[in-house]
Amino acid sequence: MRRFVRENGLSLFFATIFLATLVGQTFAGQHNFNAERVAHGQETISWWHYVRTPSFGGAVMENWQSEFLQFSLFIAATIWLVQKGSNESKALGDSGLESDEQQQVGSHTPSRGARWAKADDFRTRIYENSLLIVMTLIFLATWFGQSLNNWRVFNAEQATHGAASVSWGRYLLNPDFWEKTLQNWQSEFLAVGTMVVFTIYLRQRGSPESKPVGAPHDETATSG
Amino acid sequence: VLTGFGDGRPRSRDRWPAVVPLVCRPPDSSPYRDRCAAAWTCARAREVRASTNPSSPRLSGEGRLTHWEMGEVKPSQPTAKCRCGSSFTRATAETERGRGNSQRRYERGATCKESSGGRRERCPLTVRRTCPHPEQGRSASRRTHRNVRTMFVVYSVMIVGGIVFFVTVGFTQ
Repeated sequence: MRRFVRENGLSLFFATIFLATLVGQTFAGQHNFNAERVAHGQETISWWHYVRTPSFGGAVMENWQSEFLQFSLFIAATIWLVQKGSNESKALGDSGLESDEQQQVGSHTPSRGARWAKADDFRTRIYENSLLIVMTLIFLATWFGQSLNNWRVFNAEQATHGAASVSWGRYLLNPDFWEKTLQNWQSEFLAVGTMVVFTIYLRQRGSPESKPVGAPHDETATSG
Repeated sequence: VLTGFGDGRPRSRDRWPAVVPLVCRPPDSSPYRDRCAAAWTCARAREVRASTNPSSPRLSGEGRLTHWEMGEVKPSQPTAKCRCGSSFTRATAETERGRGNSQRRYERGATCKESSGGRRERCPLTVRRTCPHPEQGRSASRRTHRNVRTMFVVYSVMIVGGIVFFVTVGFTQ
């Protein structure tokens, strides 16, 4: 057990704080939701009822989609684009998909390497893009989830104000959907760009997300 | 000269190769470029030189390079992680001392060698690793693989479960 925790500390840490904050969000969201219902003369709802509301689902999904979009774009952009001096970038001459030897594909796959990397056929083509494929699929699925939930919320508000409900397709063109989408995207793009640029000059000793403390500012693609 | 180092065969203590030179290079052996993080590789010299004093690591030169492989400590093939700076290649001396036949201890002190040759300085990192016996190592490797797979499954379940739950809410509520 101790070995398991030591070898998976990073993923366990983030899984724990993810679940803790998600649960925290449910309670804070329920209180906020009920406060608004009381203000409108409506009955309060239970915690479990709130967890199954589109209001909570939309809030969760719109944050998830932006995070997975952020990483999908970062994975894709760093294949071809570089930033001199940044820890988050490849070396300047390495932009592109790189050679099979560099990527350890086919006959260059080490003995303990992934089976699909050795196959050197369609399986290799899938496997060599699997990270981007899966992250993009999760982004699209969560964005779809956001649209469904926020659409329900939007129509509930329309009903409250005596306005006509809209179809899901119409809602995708509605400013409400795009405001909720873009407000999340912009913050992710700023954070990623900041990370790319700040790692040129700033350091964190011991973190692989930083260059070594003493590394020159123009040194690219080194981990501390 | 001892050859065939890394084959996992037990050796008596006095025959342990004292110095295993490791050299960080770009994987394609092209003129030195700064390739670290995911791209570094360590070349392990097959020829090693026995030291008269096993407790004092010495840099023995590059030796004859036989193959490239990702730098990681394997139970039977003790390569070491290297980190390459922009202007240094780092030749790493690794000493190996027998601790009975069941455990080997790898103590690595690194020496930086300027690309142009000449000046040498101490690397900032000294790594100590304890590697299990090859037999133990194989089972430990399988266990590590299971451990890592567990977290992959946990995260996949959280994400897929969350998406299915909230999409269902969106469809039904």
